[in-house]
Amino acid sequence: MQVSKSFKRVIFLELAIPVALLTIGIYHGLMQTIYRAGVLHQTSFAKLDYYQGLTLHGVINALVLTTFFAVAFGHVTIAFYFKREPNKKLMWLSFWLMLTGVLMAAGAMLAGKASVLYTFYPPLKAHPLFYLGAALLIIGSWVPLFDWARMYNQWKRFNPETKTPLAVLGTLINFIIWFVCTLAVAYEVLVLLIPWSLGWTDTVNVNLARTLFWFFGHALVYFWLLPAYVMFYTVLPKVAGGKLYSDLAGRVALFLFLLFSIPVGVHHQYSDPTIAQGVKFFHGMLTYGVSIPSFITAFTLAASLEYAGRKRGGKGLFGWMSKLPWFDENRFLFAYFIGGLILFVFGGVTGIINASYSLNTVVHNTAWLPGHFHMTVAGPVFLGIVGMSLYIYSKLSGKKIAMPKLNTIIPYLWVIGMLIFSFGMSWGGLRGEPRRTNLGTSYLNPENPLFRADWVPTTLLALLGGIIMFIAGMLFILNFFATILGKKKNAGELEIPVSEAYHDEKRIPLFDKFKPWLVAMLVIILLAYVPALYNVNKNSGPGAPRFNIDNPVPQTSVKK
Amino acid sequence: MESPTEEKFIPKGAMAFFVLLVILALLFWYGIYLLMIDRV
Amino acid sequence: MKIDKSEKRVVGITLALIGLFVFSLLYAKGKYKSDVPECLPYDKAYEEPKINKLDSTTYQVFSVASMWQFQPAEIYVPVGSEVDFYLTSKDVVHGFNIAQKNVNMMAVHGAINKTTVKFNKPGVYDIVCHEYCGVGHQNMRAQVIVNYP
Repeated sequence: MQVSKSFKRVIFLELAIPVALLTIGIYHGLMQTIYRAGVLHQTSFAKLDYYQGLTLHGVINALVLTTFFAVAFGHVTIAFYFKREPNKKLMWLSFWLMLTGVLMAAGAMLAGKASVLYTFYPPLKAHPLFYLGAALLIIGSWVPLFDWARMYNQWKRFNPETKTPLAVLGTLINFIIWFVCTLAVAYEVLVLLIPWSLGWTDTVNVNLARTLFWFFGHALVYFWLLPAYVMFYTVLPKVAGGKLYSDLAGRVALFLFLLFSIPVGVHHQYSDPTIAQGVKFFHGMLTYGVSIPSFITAFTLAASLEYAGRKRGGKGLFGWMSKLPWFDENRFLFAYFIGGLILFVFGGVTGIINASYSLNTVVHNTAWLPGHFHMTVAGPVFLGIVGMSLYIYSKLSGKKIAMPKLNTIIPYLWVIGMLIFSFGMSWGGLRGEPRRTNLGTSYLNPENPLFRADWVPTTLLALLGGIIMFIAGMLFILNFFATILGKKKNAGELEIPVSEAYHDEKRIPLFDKFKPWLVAMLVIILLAYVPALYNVNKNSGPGAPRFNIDNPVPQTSVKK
Repeated sequence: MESPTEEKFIPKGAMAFFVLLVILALLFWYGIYLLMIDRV
Repeated sequence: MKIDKSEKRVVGITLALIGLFVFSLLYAKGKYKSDVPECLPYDKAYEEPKINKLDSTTYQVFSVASMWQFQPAEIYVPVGSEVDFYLTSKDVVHGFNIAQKNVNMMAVHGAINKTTVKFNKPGVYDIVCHEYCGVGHQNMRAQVIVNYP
């Protein structure tokens, strides 16, 4: 499909800018493992404080890279399947809003005025520009949904009987989840935090802010995950040389995500005060509900890959696995996807433990948690994002991949590093090793009375894994920009692989429309969050004043 | 196990993988569960 | 054309797995009282760090987290004692984790958290702050010393 110059330019920027920022994001990831392993016994390195680096690592990798890619991949998917480009002005409006937001937040973070981590829990206060930047990034990412919805309605009027393409359904569902969940964090940021950080209001109800954040926070992880799921369902089977086992399974999974992505947020607050145990248990059960689509996906993808493996001559119960194109540089997307799926096996299994109510007290806020989510967001999501970014760029620009052989082994290098890193973090977490802590200056400093010898092997494993991942990450960025600087081979066009379905079930109306699911979604969210917010309101005491990260005395004067 | 002709493909291998995945989930989950009880 | 037979079996297995986990959680809650922290309405009285000895083996600790220390910093209790930890924060959010005993709570301003734990083995139990709370976060650690006769 030929596309306009303007379309190409927006997509190039929305892919290239985050990958460029990734150098900072991954550098600070490596620095975390170096500090934590006690290689450094200091609070900052190269004029960047540990917690400043941790904030940059979280914001760049988990907010900027993921949001920009979701928007870019959404534009590509919608344009490719509807054979029409989204509205140019809205595409650029969305881009400029998001970029302005990122520049504001980056400014505040680099100035050391926003070292509050990517969850920005009050009453630790960041510079108002940080909050405004976060709000703009979110508002910018809302814009495409309204344009895509218009295009979808138009398409539906002309095709009432044809099934909505799975990729389009996934993109729309993802952004509906995103829009609904960001309402809570937008309220937190715009109504609670910005006035409070500017000094217009004196205190903030911390419990309310946390509950609103996690209303958004878990759906955020599905906003990261669903683009990867769209790729797994609609691109992977084709790239592997087979067919998607069941198209309907994909639809069922996507609509279950629509229902259960948001009303589960309190499973991040099992250890929080003010929320009743009953509400926490209910959110735990709903979280089990959201694990069902992932189990369905695990099986459906395995069946799709088995179909491909057998077509390539695979024999026996698992013989098909060896026949898949693991190292085929012309199908490098397979390497990125399968690497992500290998990690996601462990990411999913550990996720069920975290969701399991009283089991959470064993692991909450320990290094087990980064161990878990580096095998979800930094596993299938990250590899899906970078693999597909390179693929889209290469197709759209008409340029060859600069180092195709190297490109195909990068994901496996990442997987090896990640398995070592996550094993070290998870094992350390079970020994009580905390996350988000500059261990090097205390717990991992032999001279310090707080020294914990039992955390030495685990942080060393995390360091080893971190180094391997850092190398893989830098090689990818190198290859990505070498491709950008490469020669144009042809005019370039918009093309993404489309998988056929083995079971291409007939259109079932219920799984081809949104209204009933949106109503059900709203009901479940009310059932889950009205009790939670009632609890928070009833059990909260006085609000908290502003605190800077370096001063126990609350900041009363309005000075930033 | 003939190669999958169009009409009949039973994902036996995928079902076996899924059962292994469930077993892995059980092992991990009850591992942490026993650790929790051991710490009571 | 209904959902494929294998897919239905997969959903069945998943539901069975979830059922097993739910049963085990309720069993542990009943038999070992394994639970998440209790929910209490806010009460200013808990903002004063204190150790109340109710009887020879039952203690109440009013633990107050602040930028960068726990008060009381050292808690001496005899072996076999049952301790109710009440927790709040005077400023930002802090963590309160006694890993060996599954005590895992968040200290939040304007909120009271509570959990109960039985120390039946002597030893020194670290209380680690595991939520970022500013530049001194990595030094925030208190201890429960269990062998005080």
